This record gives sequence, C-alpha cells and structure tokens, in this order.
Amino acid sequence: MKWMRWWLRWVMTTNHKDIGTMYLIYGCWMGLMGAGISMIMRMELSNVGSSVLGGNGQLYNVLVTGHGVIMLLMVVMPVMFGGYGNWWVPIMIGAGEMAFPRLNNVSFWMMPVSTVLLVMSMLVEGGAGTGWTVYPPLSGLVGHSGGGVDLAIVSLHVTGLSTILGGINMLSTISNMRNEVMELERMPLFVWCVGMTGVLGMLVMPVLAGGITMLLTDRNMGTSFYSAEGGGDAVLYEHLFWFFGHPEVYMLILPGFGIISQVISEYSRKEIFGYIGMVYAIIGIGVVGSVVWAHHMFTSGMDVDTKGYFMAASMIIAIPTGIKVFSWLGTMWEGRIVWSVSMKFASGFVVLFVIGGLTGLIVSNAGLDIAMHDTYYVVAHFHYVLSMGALFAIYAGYYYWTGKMTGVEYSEEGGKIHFWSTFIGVNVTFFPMHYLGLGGMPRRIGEYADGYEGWNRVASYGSIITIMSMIYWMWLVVKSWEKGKESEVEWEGRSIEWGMRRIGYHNWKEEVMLVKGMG
Amino acid sequence: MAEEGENENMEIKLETAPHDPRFQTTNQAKHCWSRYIEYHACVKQKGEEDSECQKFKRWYKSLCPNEWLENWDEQRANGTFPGPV
Amino acid sequence: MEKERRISEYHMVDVSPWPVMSVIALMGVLIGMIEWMHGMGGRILVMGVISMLMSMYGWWRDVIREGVLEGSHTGKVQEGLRKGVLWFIFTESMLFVSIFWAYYHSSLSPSVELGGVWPPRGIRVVEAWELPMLNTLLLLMSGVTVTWSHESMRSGEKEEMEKGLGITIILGIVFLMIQGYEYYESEFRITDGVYGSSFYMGTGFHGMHVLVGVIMLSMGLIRSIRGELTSEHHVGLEAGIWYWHFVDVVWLFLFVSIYWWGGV
Repeated sequence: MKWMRWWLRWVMTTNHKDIGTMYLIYGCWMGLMGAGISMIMRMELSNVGSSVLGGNGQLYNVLVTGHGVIMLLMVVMPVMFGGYGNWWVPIMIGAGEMAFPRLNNVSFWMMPVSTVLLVMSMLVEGGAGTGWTVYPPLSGLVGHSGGGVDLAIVSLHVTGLSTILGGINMLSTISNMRNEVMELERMPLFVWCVGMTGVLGMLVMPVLAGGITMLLTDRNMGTSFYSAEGGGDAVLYEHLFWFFGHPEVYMLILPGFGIISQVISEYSRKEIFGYIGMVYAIIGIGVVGSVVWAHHMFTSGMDVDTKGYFMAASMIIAIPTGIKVFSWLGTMWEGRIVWSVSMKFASGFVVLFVIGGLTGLIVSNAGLDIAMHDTYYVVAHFHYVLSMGALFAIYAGYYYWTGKMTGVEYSEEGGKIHFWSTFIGVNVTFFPMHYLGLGGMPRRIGEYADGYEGWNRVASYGSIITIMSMIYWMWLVVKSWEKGKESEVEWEGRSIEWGMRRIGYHNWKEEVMLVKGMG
Repeated sequence: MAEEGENENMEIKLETAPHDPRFQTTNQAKHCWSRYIEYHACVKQKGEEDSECQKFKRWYKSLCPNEWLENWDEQRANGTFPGPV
Repeated sequence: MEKERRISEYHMVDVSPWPVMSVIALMGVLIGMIEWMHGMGGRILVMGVISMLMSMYGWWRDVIREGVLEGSHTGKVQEGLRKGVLWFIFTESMLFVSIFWAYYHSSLSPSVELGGVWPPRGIRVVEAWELPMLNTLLLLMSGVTVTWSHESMRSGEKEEMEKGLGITIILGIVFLMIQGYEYYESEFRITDGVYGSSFYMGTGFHGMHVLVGVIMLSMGLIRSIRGELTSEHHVGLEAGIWYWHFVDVVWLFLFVSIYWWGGV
C-alpha cells in the first residue's frame, strides 16, 4: 500500500511541483555523471602521453560525447527549464498548475529514457565518438559502423521531444493561465526567460529532429543527404545542427538570466532596474540568437559575405546581453545589498559571464576564428558561459528557493565555503584553457604536445577543487534536510513566491489568491 | 605546365583562375566543374587550338584535382559523363 | 480534496499511468527500431508499437471522458488546449522547414556528382501535371469540404457537418492511395542519390502527416456520430481541422518545389 502510494505520488504524478522536484533530482544525478566523465578526461589530460585511458582515442571521444550531451541536454536544460521552470512559473503567474499536467509528466520521464539510450550508445560497439555535434561523415557508416551512433541519435531525438513538449506546455501555461492581474508587463523576468526558452525550443528542436533523422536514414536506409557520393553535402548537416545548436545555448542560459534577475532584485532590496529594457533584451537575444548559427562554421568554406553577415549578427547579441548586465549592475547600485549565498553566486555569475561573453566576441570574429576554431580557447569560452554562467545560476537558484521548496534552510557558513571553493575551482580549471587555446592546443583529442603540459596540469588540479566543492554541496543539501532550521518568511519578498508561508503539495488556491492580491 | 615552362629565364608564373562572382565559397569544386564543362563546350564550337579554349583548360587544370579529371575523361570516353557536354 | 479541486477554472488532472507507460513504450519503439535496422529482428519494435498504441488509446480515452463526462474542459481549458494545438502545429511546420532546407540545399546548387543539374542526370522524375496535380486538386477540395464541415459544426448543423467530414476523410484516403500508386510506379528509389532521398523524405513525411490527419478527422466523425460534440465544445475536431489545413499547405509547398520546380 505504501509502495502504491509512492508510485501514484511520483511515477504517475500530475503535480507541477513534484515533477519539478524529480527534474531537479534527475539533473543532480546526471550532473554527477557528467562531472565524473569530465574528471576522467582531466585525468587523461593531466600529463603528456596516455594515462588512464591507455591510449584509447575512441574512448576519449566517447567520453567527450557523453560529457557534452549530458551536461547540456540532461543537466542544464532539465534543471533550469524543467526543474525551476516547473516549480516557479505556475506559481509566479498565479496559475496553480501547468496547462497540461500529464504532458508535463511525459516530458520528465522522457529524460531518463534518453539517458538510458545515451549510456547504451556509449557501451555498444565502441560507442559514439563523435562529440555532441554528431557531424557526418565521422558519424556516417564509414566513421562509425556500429549501433552506438544510432542510439546516440535516438537519444537526442528523445531529449528534443521532451523539450518540445515542455515548450508547448510552458507556453500554453504562460499564454492562457495567467491570473487576470498578471499582465505581460508585470510578469516576473524569470517567467519571461522561461517563455522565451520555450519558444526557442519549439522553433529549433524540430529542425534538429529532422536533421538527425536524415542522418539516421543516411546510415541505415541508403539515403545520401550528407554523403558526397550521392550528391549530398555534409555542410547541410552543419547548418541544420547549428540552426538548432546555437539557439540551444541561449536556451541554456536564458532561464539562468531569469534566476539572476530575481536574485539580484531580491537581495538588493530594489525593483529590477529597467524592467522593460530587460524584457526586450530577452526577446532580442532570442530573435537575434536564432539567426547567427553559421558562426560555428567559419572554417567550413563559406563565402566571405556570409561570414561577414554571421560575424556582424553574432556581435550584435552583445548589445542585449550588455543591457542585461547593465541592468543587473543598475539594480545593485545604491541597493541595500544582502550578501546571502545566492547573491554571491549571482554576482559571481555576472563577473564570470562577462568574461565568457567577451571571449565570445573574440571567437565570433570570422578572421580570428580561423585560428581559434577547434582549440581550447573555444572550450574555455563556452565553459565560462556554461560551467560558470549556467552552473552559477543553478546554484543561485538552489540557495534562493530551497527554503520554499523543502521548507528547511541551508547552512549560511557552508554555503559560503561552497561558493568560494567553486569560484576558485572553476577559474583554476578553465582560465588556463585560454592560454592553451591561444597556444594552439586542439580540442577533442586525448593527447597533446609536451609544451602544453604545464597549464593542463593546473587545469586538472582545478577540476579536483571543483569536484570537491560539488560533493561538498551535495553533502550540504542532505545536511539541510537532516537538521536545517525551518524556513520562515524573514522579510517582505518582492517576488510572489516569497509571500507564501510554505509551499505544500496541493495549495494552488493560496498561490492563486496571492497573485490576485497584487492587483 | 609544359607549355609555360618554355621561357628560358626559369621564372615560373603561378596563377590560378581569376575570381568569378558565381563561385564565392572557399570550396571551388563547382568552379572547377564549370570550367571543365566550358572548356569542352568551347572545343566543340571552336576547336582545340583556340586561345579562348586554352584559357579554360589552364583554369580547370589549376582548379581541379587530377583524380577527378582522370575520372571525368574516362567517363566522357565511355559516354557516362553526367555533365551537359 | 476532489471537491476542492473542481473549484478551479483550470483542469486539475488526476494522477495518470499513461505518461510513464507511453515513455516505456517509446523506449521499446526506439531500441526495437535500432535492432531492426541492424538486422536483429523486429520483435521488440512490434511490442513497442503495440504498447505505444495501447497507452495512446488509454490516454485519449481519459481525455475524452474528462471532457465529455466529467465536464472538466471549461472555456478556459478549451482555450488552453487550442493554444497547445497551435504551438504543436508550429513545431510540426519547423520539422518540414528542416526537410525543405535539405531539399533546397541539395537542389539550388546541385553538386558536381549530380552533373551540376537538378533533377540529376539519369533520374526520370514524376511528371508534375499528372498524378501530383490530381493529388493537389484532391487536397484543395478536401480543404473546402473540411471548412464546410467546420462552419456547419459552429452553426450546429450536425448532418451537414458529418457529410463534409466524411467526404474529407474519403478524399484524404484517396490521396494516400494515389500517393502509394505513384511510389509504386516511380522509376527511382530512396537510395538513388540525394534526389531520391529528398523526394521520398519530403513526400513520405507528408504522407505520414496526412495519415495522422485522417485518423484525427475520423475520430471527430465517430465522436460526432456518438453525439459527443456540440457547437460550442469540439476541440478535438477543431484540432483535426487545423491540422488538416496545415497538411494541405505543406503539400502546396511540396508540389510547387519538388514536383513542379524540381521536376523540369
């Protein structure tokens, strides 16, 4: 009977909070897996020559694929869009529930399925050593004749489907279930960000699905979309993939922007500075972010005019992003800042994301990118915006909302230690990669020339600090469940969820009333 | 190459086909293909000795990989060449 | 608790086994498909498809019961369902964008291996103004009849509506049969270079969507005969009708670009 109730509550659930919780737990779990893989890669790279992998280059590439797919599609997307999005969007707009609760559940349960498929792909016939981009001809029958790539492809299909369904759900919720007093220009920025993420997901995920379906038929049914012998073109795949891939990276960071906006406004005790500007910046990032994809393909032989366009358009994204950074600083300016742990992570986000954004401007330059392409400089760039940007936003969101989600508070001291160890760890890991990249060290290869050893050693030490801080954080989380003090409403919160006493299983009525009270 | 190596002072003039706005991309495969077809169309019209045609020949020789040219010559001999020649 | 939940103008859905069932079925379908493609037999695929169909049946049965018998689909909920359908159709059109992208990428600048021309040398294309033109007319006509039935539904003329819907379904089935005949008669296969690939990928995906549309409209017809639809409350049928228009428009693009422009 107890098992039956557990089954009904979690497996067959239609409750947005329970689904959000499952997304968060799943994301944590996958985060451990992705981080574990990256530790193996850092061990391999910690000294010259082959070490832990015994010179098996294919295995290294399989780990690269796993690390990429897991971290992007199975950690950041589920945690930000699925976890925090599910938890807070219905509450913030006063809806009480998502529009399609069963669809919500199906989007969640697709994620473990895609994980199973991905892990299977890593284990059968040498795995898929293609990177998360799965470029043909490497991913074609010549490069990978086994079933590993097929399984990786359907794993991507399933995550894509999950995101599409999540996007449909989120957009129907936001567009239909807003409380009557919740006008569009009063919506919390987090809701705007998650909504834009949903729109981008519905725009680009089907294009990825089509592209990888054609790859699947190229491999198994004798079509020749991407094979030159039949008149196809591998560059077509790059276009289809990056038409998905570039908006995807904005989907990863946009909910993070939303969380940071909430946190900074809350702990500066001020309304967000330039709210309307922030909203248009979110929309601008979404729109412009969808038309810049070919800056990932500067070395694929495009003509100069196309390069010029994609370079200019990519650089233009710095403007809405700059508006956001400016507004965050403007919110902190003259605010009564409370240095809680989540505020620390939010400020860390602003600093480190700006660094990642500036290196992004450098690699978006088509001329420079010829030299930077496929070096560790690019790796450093996207880890600064993801492993520090998105990850810091996830941590900030955890410390910000955990009291509301679990009813107990984290330890302030422990949070401080966690922040500083993470901050130091990620910087020690990824800052040297700039030097390695400028020195010309290629990415996605398990071995390197002797001259690169020094900075690689430093990066590997940094990765140990990072993983230690991550384990410490997990311990902190469990500790807070065990003996954290009960959370209360300590102050007048600005955003809606702070007005609630305690968020229980089914208390949508209180949530709805709360938003109505704003009017 | 032999016809250019004739001048005695051994000054090798390196040149390839001039820029053609139809073929903007770094990948010049289509450019090579068009020059090859244009050469053979030209030969059909004006004969092999024509200087116009020799120009096309110089260009496609500098653009196309030799392997492709051998392939295409063979295909033309067999009558299986896919292009409009 | 049950009574309390009804107060909301939105639909607070009860726990349901179908999401997790269909996800397990999905895993069976995908793993089975890969096994089948690697020549390891199709038993898992068949099992996956059957359990997928069963959970789809159960899921939609529940939705219909909630809408018809429990009265959970208030005006607000219906509006949400409509918005969801429109977003879904938007994602479907993006899927076709990727297929057309592949087609135009290959055809606007045909590669050297194809002889630099489109359609490639040696491909005997399907003549646009024969069967495909007939198919175009059939689908356009079905667009008219489906609108006839839509308008009749709104004004509550049940018989007219069922007549229009029935004709639409028949036209759709005839379209699929003609498409099948065209495949049977055509002189190239999906393996014949990128022309065959993009032709069959485009028309094949479209054909599958027509099949889905036919099923959706047939469900609307059955439900109307069973008396479940009213002039105010017919979201399922409306979704099918919108979907049908979407499928129509995709066909027009296919006809113009693949058969007409790409066939000369």
